[in-house]
Amino acid sequence: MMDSPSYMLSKIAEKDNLTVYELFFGPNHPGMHGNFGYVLEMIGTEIVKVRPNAGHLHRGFEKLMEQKLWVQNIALVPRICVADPDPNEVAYCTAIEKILRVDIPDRAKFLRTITLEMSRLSSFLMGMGALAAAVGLYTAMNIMTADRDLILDLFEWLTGARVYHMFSIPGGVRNDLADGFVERLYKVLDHLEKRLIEYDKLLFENPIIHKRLKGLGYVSKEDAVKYGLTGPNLRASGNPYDVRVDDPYAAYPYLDVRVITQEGGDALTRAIQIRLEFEETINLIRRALKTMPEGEIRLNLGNLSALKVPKGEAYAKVESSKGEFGYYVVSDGGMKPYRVAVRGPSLPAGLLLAQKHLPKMKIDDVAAWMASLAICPPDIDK
Amino acid sequence: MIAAIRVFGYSLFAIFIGLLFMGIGRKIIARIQLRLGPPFYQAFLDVGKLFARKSITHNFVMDLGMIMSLAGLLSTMLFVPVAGHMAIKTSSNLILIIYLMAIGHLGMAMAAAASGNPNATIGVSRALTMMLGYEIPFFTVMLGLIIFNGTSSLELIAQSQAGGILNWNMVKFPLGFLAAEIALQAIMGEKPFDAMVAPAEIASGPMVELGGKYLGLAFLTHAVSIFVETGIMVNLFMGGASNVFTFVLKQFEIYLITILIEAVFPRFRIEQAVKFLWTVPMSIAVVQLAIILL
Amino acid sequence: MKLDKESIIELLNQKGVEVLDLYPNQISVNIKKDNLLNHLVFLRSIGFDHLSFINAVDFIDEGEFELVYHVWSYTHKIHVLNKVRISRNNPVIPTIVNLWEQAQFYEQEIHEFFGIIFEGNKDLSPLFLENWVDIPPLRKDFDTKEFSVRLFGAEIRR
Repeated sequence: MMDSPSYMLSKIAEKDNLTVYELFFGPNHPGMHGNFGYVLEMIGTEIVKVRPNAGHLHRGFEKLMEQKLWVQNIALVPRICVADPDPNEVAYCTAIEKILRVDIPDRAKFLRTITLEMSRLSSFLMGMGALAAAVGLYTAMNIMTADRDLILDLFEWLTGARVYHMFSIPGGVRNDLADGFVERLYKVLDHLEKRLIEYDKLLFENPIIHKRLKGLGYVSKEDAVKYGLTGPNLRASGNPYDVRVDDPYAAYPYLDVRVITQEGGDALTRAIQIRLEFEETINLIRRALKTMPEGEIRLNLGNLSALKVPKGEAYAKVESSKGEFGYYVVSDGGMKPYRVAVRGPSLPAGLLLAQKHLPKMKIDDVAAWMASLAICPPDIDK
Repeated sequence: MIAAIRVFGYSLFAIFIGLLFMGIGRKIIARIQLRLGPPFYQAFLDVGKLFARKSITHNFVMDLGMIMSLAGLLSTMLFVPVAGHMAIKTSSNLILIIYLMAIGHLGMAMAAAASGNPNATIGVSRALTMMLGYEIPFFTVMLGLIIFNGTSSLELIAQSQAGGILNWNMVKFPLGFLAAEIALQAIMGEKPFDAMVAPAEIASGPMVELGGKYLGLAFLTHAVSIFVETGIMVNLFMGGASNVFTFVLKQFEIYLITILIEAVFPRFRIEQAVKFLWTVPMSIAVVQLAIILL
Repeated sequence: MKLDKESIIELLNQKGVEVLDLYPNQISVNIKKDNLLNHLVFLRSIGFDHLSFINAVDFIDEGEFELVYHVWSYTHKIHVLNKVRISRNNPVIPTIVNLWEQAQFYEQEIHEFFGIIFEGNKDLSPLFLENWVDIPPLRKDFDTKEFSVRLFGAEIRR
């Protein structure tokens, strides 16, 4: 009924072939995360066809990594994902350590785990903030950005850099914890736990958020596995799979990770999934800090700039806040990698689910749909 | 000659107060969001910077549309009594005011349609649909007040509330005030009813193709609309005022309520917004109307 | 029901496929191009239902491309690297889009960067690069330095 003037006009325009128009939900758009675009063909406010407009963030990582030494690539690898850079470093180093057939010291494993979980916290804050901003709740986005700053300050103290840490190296980690770091980390964790109550009242129990996100982008239990979704998207559709439990790496064999699963499969379930995993991550960091042993922080592999990795190949995967990050490394026995191939977690959702969900959706929901599936364009383009 | 100076003076005053409110509003929202925020005079600096730039335009219709919307709102302002004074000595008929306010939206619709960007067209259709949504409950409340006072002159309605705070329409008809407040969120284009400007969905709607001087004109239009709408609410429900200073203070109270609600709500989809406006404030307004008639 | 790594290697050996045991959770399998679809259908039927990734490696000295199909099983917790070798002069291979739909985008990417043609894939248009007229860039005979000097007049200073 609301649409009846436009319905009449569209019937008139159909005769002249003027109904379908093209809209760039494009690289330059306030609702898009990163430089990525969808070229949408629309009738009225409803989408009819989708074509991805990818490649604006293509930086040629895979070719570049073949021309640098093994340890020089540590500076390149975190820049593949902006929100959650640590899983990249850990996956790359784990693949090299698999080919070298070495096992790193226990303290190094725990330090890697702690930085991975801290990075997961900051990525969840950014992801929840992006979801809130896509539906207009800028208050939540700004408060979460302020809280994310506390974690980035801790990272700067530990590694020297706020966003791209370059902390893991083949054989272990670069630095040990300074005096007073653990106390400050506990204070930040307590502060974040108190903040969760405020986030609940502001964001997760907001009736308008429920109205906007309910039923959006439904993915069934079998489809999630069939389309290759991983991470919180998979678990919010009812599949209890987590790389930290299925194929453990770093210190996860010593820690008890609780796999959180929900039925539901729509955007609201995914938002609540992130909130539940946020709480679980805080507890995981506390457990890791309590059981961390003393010891060495890296193996002695000689001069890392002259590291030679024997011939072989390995695939290492890591659970990031968006899903499974995988690195396939091929070595021919030299000082530079022969091939490094990167598997990003956003490709099945960003490219395949867009063909399945976006037609028949209205333009109002595209930004919220993207934010709920945690589609982050840098790891599609590499 | 004197009339021209009065009109010019009132217009400058309306623009000044509107921009001041916008700046203070941004500061308050920033403090709610745990930020420092821009200084309270930021809106003046924004308008000054925008008018100093070159701008591109598509055709003559876009120029005309922007000027028409600003002129429409300024002419509406001339009929709203400010503490009993008015720019032109004429009646301040409520129905005339609401009728003239639509010219602002129509002018912006003309400018947006001439720009040729589909985002702007979607934004304009949402704005006009939202107008359909908020007019109905607002008119019902106004109908109740007109029947009660027996006149549709804004000045007389304001004067009938003289004699202390207990005489205000806000206290005599609280349900009507509640329904009008909810509709006011939509009239001012603030969340949860700001589907017209939805940056994340349609790239700022009608303002997507405006730049430079045109965006400056859009800012000024928004500032005058704040002045006009809060002015109408003060005259209807808070008893006008005896001097200009008290009037501006009461306007600021209404604007503060709007800002505080805006900071904590996301936005409705357009069909959800219209459905909400036609059920919740409408039923409250109908109850108020029934109480007045009986 | 969960099979362990030895039983899976046993099942694959019975099918005539040679298996390399790489790491505690990873095995690597070499298969021929004509056998690819049957092998993947068989793996899917015994519980390997997650296609992680498809990538290609350029072995220019041997004159071959190697395609690696990564599959993972959520029940057995084993990762299999299925490797197929095709000739470098005529790189053609059938598509697996009918098994897993996301393969369409992985194959599109490999076609753009290596020049391998996937028969049956309905859309192999360029996804990332625009107006690319050179050879596919991830091949080993594409020299980035020479490309920069030729196209942008960059100077290499020693």
